[in-house]
Amino acid sequence: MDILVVGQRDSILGFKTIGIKTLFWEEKTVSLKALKQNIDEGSKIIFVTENLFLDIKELMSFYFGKLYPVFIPIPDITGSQGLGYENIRQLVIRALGTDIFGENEGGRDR
Amino acid sequence: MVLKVNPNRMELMKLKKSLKLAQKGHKLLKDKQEQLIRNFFEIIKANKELRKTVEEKLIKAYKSFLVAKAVMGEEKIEEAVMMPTLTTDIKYGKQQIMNLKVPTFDVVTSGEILSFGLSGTSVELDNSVKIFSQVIRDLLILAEKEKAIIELANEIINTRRRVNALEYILVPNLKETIKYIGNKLNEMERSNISRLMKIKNMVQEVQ
Repeated sequence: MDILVVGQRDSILGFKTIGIKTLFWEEKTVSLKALKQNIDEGSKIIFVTENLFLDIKELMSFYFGKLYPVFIPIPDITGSQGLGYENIRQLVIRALGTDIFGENEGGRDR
Repeated sequence: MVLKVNPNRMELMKLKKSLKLAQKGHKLLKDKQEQLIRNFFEIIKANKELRKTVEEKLIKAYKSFLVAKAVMGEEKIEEAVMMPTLTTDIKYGKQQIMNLKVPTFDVVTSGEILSFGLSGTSVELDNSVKIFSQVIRDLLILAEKEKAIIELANEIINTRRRVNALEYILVPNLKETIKYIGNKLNEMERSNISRLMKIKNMVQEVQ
């Protein structure tokens, strides 16, 4: 199973119906350990609900620069906080040195 | 900064050659960087739209599941999702963006969609399962795009570093060194001439 969905039980139980591996987030240290174990066992694409994204930031930086795993933020049941968008924005700022998502699209070139 | 080399013609030729190469490389890398950024913009724009639609769909899926849960009750739903016969897996592929190989993901599902009996589960749950199995497809496309963005961003950072190193360090250094060697050689030439003149004078005086 290469796909893993991490999040609060209420949000992600639905993924279980289509046979996707899920990890219910409970207590930070315990769940982080479980997540790490899952990655070691071969979970490659990991969808994480936005509210947990901050908690796993450290773990993510550990795998930075590697091909897998890929962490993708998804909204939880309360709706999107725009974190996935923010994530990409940070990347763009780092790559181009400018915030093209700012006010006007396209922005000025580097 | 002048490189540490012996100021002779051999070195001069070597340095001129490597300057040419560095300038050529710089131009190529600059072109590559521009193209990468162009690709980057395209993907980002597409991703922005995609994320919006996928998030909407996902929330719809959550809601449908919530409804199912409300109708059936916690325990029943737990029972229903306990042993899904449907398995969702990924087929990996590769896509080339410039020199980058970016993975592509494709969903492979196998097994029966509705793994639970007809009695005891509600229509809402069936609907929810259907919606979820559609959403996962979109989610994987999103993952694929975001992975491409991450890879592209890293490549852009690397390329920029290389371009800058060539532009601001290697090329100026080479130019300066070439100039230095040229000056040195000219100086040697001049001192040689003046020495010859001096010797000629001395010889003439003796005669």
